[in-house]
Amino acid sequence: MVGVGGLVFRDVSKTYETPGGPLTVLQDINVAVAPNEFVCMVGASGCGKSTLLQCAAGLNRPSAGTITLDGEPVVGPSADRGMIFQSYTLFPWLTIEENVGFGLSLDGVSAAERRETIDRYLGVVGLTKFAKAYPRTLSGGMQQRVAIARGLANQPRVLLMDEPFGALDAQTRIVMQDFLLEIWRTTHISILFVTHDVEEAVYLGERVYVLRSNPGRVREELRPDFPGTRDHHLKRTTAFHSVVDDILDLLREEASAAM
Amino acid sequence: MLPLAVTAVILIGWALLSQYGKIPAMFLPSPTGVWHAFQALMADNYAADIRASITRVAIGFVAATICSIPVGLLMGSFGTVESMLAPVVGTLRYVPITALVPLLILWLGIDEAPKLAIIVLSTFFYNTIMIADAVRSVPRDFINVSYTLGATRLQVLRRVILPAAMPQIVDALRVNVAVAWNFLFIAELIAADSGLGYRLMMAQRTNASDQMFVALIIVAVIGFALDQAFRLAKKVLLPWSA
Ligand SMILES: Nc1ncnc2c1ncn2[C@@H]1O[C@H](COP(=O)(O)OP(=O)(O)OP(=O)(O)O)[C@@H](O)[C@H]1O
Ligand SMILES: [Mg+2]
Repeated sequence: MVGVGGLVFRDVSKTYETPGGPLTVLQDINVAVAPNEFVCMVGASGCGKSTLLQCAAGLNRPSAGTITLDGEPVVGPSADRGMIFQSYTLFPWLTIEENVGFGLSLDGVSAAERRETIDRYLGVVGLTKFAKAYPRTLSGGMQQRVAIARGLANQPRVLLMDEPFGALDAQTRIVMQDFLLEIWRTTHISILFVTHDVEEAVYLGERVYVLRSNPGRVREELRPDFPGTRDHHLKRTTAFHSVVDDILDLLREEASAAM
Repeated sequence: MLPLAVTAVILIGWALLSQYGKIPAMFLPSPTGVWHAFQALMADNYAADIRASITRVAIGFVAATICSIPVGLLMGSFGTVESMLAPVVGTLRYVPITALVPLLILWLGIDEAPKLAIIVLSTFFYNTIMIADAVRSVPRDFINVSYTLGATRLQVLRRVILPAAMPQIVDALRVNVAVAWNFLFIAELIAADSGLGYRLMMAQRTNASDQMFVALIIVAVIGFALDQAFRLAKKVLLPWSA
């Protein structure tokens, strides 16, 4: 467990009141993301991944436990904790550059400074020439890149990503994974990335939490240690596949136990 | 092109029917008869009545819209406001506004006030309900992502919910301006000394079907123009929504 720095979940539980009685979706979650760290969480559909990120974002409240960012408790949403969603969330009435500058325009950053930041992050995501376009003219992958630029432009202390590539086709998804790694290396931002794709989690994460379902709990914490920088060659190595297979085995055990 | 062709067919059909159909002119005036009636009416200051009607709808509709946008936004956005207002708005929705006419005349007299009140009331309720619906259909993730970008509640309302719902709001206004136009006639037929509805009633007293046709055609033309104006406004002001 990391010290007070970064994003820390302590004994976080979440129970929803449903017509069929209380439903515990998260139980005693203890998870941390250190500054500059890229952490992935992988778990079956419905195990509470989105709920967990929403709690970190302040969009949802844990029923028990605390979440802190650099020692300060999370009490509600703030620009400190950016979030990228699986669904396309660019505002269709704003141009690409206006979308990227949206967060900055909220607290009166001067136009000149905003301009500079927008240009920088549009450059980072390689979409400078689409600055004046509207979102509907962009492909899904491009839209998610803009959404990431919009999140980064706010300079949050941690970026929460909820299956951001889930709606993309396989090829685009692979390109976006490398793109995200590149961004992370250049911006040194902390990332908590949630997915149900095991390969994706192992490829991206310095650390990977494997979640179990009903209720969602941390089943295992891994630190896949691959030599050299990560790039798509890694996915062909046996070392990579053995980690992926181990996690798949864990999840399979889970699933068959639940049957 | 097609609408023009349809209009031409109707006009020709009408002319033939009134010419050869053996229907007394009292029931079906000929197109030229209607044209002459129109000229006679214009000589008799008909323009002032058209103006009076348009003014009533404009004032009533604008006033109702100004009120219904904030109320609809709040109703659609916040559960508490919704639960406070829903029973009231939801119940009044099923009271035909026409049923309020005698009461409005009793309370407000027979001048402009009751006519405006009818238009304002009818437009306000339909607008509010439809705007609240538009707001509820704004994707939840738009709102969530705005909060994580640092927006306050007010900023979410003004800068996300309002623009996101705008295309549907404009559509609602387009539909409801026709409603307002309908209710104007009810108001003017019952108690008025000016306006297209008033003239229509006068025509009825003398069985002047040619004058009735004039009123109907003018109403249709204005209604059509309003509808087109809203469509155009949406295209120009909200080009992204196409
Ligand atoms: N507001 C709510 N009220 C009641 N139950 C809820 C609510 N939100 C989520 N749930 C339930 O909690 C469980 C976890 O949901 P959550 O969306 O966090 O899972 P997930 O891991 O993100 O799933 P997916 O992979 O499908 O996105 C699900 O069973 C869901 O039905
Ligand atoms: Mg989810």
